[in-house]
Amino acid sequence: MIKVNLNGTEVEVEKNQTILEVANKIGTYIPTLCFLKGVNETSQCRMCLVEIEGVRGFKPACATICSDQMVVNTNSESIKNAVKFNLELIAGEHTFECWNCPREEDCELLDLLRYFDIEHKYSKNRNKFTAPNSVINGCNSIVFDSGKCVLCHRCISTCNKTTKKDVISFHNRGENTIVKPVHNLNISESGCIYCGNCIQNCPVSAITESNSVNEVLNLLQNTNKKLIVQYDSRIKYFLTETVADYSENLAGLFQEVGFKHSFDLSVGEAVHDFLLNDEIVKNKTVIEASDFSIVNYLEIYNYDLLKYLSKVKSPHTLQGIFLKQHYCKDLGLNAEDTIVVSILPNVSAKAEIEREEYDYKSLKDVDYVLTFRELLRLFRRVGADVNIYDYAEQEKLENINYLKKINYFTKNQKTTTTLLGEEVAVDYIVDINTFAETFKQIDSYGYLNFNFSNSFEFYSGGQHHIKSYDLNQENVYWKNIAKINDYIADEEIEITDIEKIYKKLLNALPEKTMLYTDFQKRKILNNK
Amino acid sequence: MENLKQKNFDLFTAYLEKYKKQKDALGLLLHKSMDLFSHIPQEIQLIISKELDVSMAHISGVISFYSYFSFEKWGKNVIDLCTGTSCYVCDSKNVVKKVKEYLKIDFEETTKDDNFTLLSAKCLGNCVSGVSMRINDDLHENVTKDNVIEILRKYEVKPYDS
Amino acid sequence: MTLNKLTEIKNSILANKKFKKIKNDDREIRLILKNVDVIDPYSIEEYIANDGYLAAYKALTEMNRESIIEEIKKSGLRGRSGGAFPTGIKWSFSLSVEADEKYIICNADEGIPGDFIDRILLEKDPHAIVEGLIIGAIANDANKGYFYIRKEYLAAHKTIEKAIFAARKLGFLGKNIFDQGYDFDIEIRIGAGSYVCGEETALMESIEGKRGTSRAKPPFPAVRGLFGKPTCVNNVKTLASVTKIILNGAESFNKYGTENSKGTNIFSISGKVKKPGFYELPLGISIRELIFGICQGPLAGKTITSVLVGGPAGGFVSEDKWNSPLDYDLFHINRTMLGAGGIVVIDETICIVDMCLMFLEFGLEESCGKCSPCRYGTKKQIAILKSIIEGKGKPEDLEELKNLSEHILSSSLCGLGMSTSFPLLSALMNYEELFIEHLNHKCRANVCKCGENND
Repeated sequence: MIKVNLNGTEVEVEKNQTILEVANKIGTYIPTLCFLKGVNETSQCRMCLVEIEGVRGFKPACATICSDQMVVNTNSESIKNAVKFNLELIAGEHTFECWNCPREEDCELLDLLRYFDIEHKYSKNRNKFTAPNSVINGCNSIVFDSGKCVLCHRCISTCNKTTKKDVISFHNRGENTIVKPVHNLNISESGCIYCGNCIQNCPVSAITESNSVNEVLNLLQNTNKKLIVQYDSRIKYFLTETVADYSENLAGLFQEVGFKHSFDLSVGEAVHDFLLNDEIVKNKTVIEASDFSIVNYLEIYNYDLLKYLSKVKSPHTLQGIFLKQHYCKDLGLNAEDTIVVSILPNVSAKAEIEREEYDYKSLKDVDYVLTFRELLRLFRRVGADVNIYDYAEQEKLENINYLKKINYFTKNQKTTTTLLGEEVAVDYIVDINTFAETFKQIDSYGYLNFNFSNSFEFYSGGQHHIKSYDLNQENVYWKNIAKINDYIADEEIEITDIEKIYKKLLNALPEKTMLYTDFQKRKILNNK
Repeated sequence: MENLKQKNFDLFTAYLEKYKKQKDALGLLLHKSMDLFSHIPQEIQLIISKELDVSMAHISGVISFYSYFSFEKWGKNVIDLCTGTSCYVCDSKNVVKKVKEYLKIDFEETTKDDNFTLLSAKCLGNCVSGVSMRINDDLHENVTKDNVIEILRKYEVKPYDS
Repeated sequence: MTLNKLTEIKNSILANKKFKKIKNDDREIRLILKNVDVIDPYSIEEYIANDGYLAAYKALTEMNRESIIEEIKKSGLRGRSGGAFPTGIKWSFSLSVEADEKYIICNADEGIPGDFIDRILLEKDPHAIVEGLIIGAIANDANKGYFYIRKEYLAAHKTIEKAIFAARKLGFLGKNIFDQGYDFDIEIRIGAGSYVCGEETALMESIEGKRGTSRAKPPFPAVRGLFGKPTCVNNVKTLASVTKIILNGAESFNKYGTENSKGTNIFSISGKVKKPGFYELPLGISIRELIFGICQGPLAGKTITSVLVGGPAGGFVSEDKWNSPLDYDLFHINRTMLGAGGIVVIDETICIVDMCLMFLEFGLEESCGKCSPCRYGTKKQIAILKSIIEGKGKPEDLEELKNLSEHILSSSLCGLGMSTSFPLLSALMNYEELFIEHLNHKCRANVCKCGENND
């Protein structure tokens, strides 16, 4: 144990700890921006500078190890001025549209700007809102806006640590530095699997999920389309974490926004399980992708392992088909005028629903995917009462029995069910087996077509590309790889091989994919 | 012409053989590509990416960082005009102005006929002989705004001010 | 390769050739430059004939790590790239670090405009640097060395490549060098046009095949450097000096120089003087003696207005300080870093304010972009200075420039960010009247268009 003096307080700490770790333990605030424990520790944002007695200049607290009898000052006037100056510079190059930004509630930069009371004095000679170096590189799933980027390097480190594929990198030098995928290519052509980990770790909203809120709102308010919403039950955790005094009135909120019906994903999950079991029996080996980004990953980087992956579509898309193809009539809706919106935490789902096979009889299985925080923005835009403002209102809400509007499906032919803690009468009963059979009958209905042409050549057959190298060709860089069908089917796998195959897949897959775009996960990662 | 290009490509792949999986050899390979092709084509980036096991984004990030690596093909003659302190003191500003006006290009650009690419060198280390300018492997000293066009004429196919 | 073989080669050359002594000026003391313009740089035999590779042999046979480091400490040699850290102490860090692999790197990325000494040594006496690297490797227990040569020095690529090849052929590099059981070999890496790669951590990033961005220190390269292993980065001049110190003893070196800055340094002077060039002189020679004595003062009919010492990391020294000695204490006197010894002389035809802008633009273009003080702060400085140069400046701009510079200095991640503001700060300190003249629409040197109506 060694002794360290932090702002006049003497503490006894273990050896080999950084000043930041010590400060966090005793509750002393040191501002950070680029630091992310175990992921990004480059000391480049210069926010955590401190003064150490006997040492000239400022030192970064996140990287400096404490020594015995060290005397540290973290909040002198000169340090505050240095941090303020740094923030003024960053603010001078930042795009501000906080009212319209997914991170308005929990932006790390905004928190720092507020705490240090920045005057924004370097904004004089520029367009007030858009930063001078704003470049947008986006697709239907992920969008990069360099105007909001603070060049902290967290996203690049994250991509490296989770997928190990380094899909994005710093480009250019100095003030022209920008985070980009491969030069001159869109993110969708660069091997990104849309796992969303970079979005989670970005301190601002330089990387966000592609925005579908405006389109959904437009459909709700300005057209005659009927919208049905289906939500992942984890939304409840998200709302409880994010919204103070969350009213727990999800059904009512959906109603207020204008959705005709709201469902959870139990039908989809039931159909999914049914088809999955069927596939296991037939093929003897199936491993399920918990997130669509895993399918992307294998298609791009390890297509030889695709044969071990289940081809059954994800629960929300199956339920989308169910609603549109089978249930619309019962709901009194015309399938062509019905829009299905899924509320999911996965960013990859946004790219998932745009694939060709998620389309039956020219109706998309699911039309839009909103992430949890997009849903919250939607609620707020409409002015729906997400919070409880006063208890009288709360009583009123409880009395209007929104719960009756929810339709619930069950395999077990029960007539009531427990929903949000209450016994509710069930409006409809569905025999899942009958419906699931229809999925099997139509060939591509419930199944994925793995996309081999998506592969990056050098990971999956680059050899023959090298032989056919032609210097005069200008445009075609990513060529298609043939031999799709030879890989699937025909191979007999033993059940005993499953463990080996499972291990092989686990080694190939990225470390983790994003499950929540929410506070909770980010708080844990930020070590706050 | 086709054979020459194929020959360069074969030279590159032969050079690359030595560096399988050696991530730090990236700089050497990019230099080789600049020597053989005057730029680093995307095909070469792909090949390097596969052999060295580094991502494409990493490679393009490295290329974009350094001044002597280029994504676009450089012209037949590369002009490296020194803009360091000593040359600045010898009036390199006016030499720069003259060259830019004559060739009608800015730094890091190539003339339309692909004959000249103009680069700004941050000190060629030849500080006691007026303004220095390197074209390909030839080092020209004591370059002034009055003699620079004459020097360029040795490398041009036809004049740029006609 | 025994001592006998070395003597054999030496004698066979000396039998047929006499080596003259050359000086650019009589007052020069040619310790490090002894072989420059005297021997054929492509001939290892001629190098050996001039006591070449004797020091490396001595280091391997008669000395050990501790005694080599002790000798370098005694000599008082300080890093000649500008950092001026005592080389002996730097090398001694390796004594306390255990690792399976250690590296030594020769920093031949002489990027400071106005410095060309490393180029002279690389082109004309490459073996001295190779030998210095061998000695450094023995002292640091390194088995692999690198030369990082900037792209612009085309001739140096060839001379160093040939030198390494020749040394390998005679058994001075590779496995079991000098038949003494020590393995050491050198690889060449070429830069690609980035000034910041002259900074040791950015240099290591570049060798690792990445973007040349600086790393924060701690951890220091001696603990965690190239590929995460203990590394020592030394300048070309430092290594050439090491060779001579081990060959001739510490006293041969430390008898020159001042209290804190021992030995000779090679100065490169360019700009508006009668006799620009490179001269090896003891540290401590005054600016006046160098510029007006050895370089014979200004060009005909002109007056020297300022002496720029240390390039973009240095400062403008005004006439009242020209009696200051050129050594590493210059910083404490003038807040101007001596740097590597590159000096540019300016007369009344040059506008110092305009030069400050040139340095800032250089700093902005060469910034690696990792930390916001350097990449954005410099931009703000340029905007203000440009408005002053265009005659649109306000009196409070000078205070703002000073504040910005101080902030960038204290918050930057690496030496480049810290030193970009030095020329500006020194100009504001020593030549404030010039800035005020520009505010009042006058440019003494008639360079800036800062008139009332922008003429």
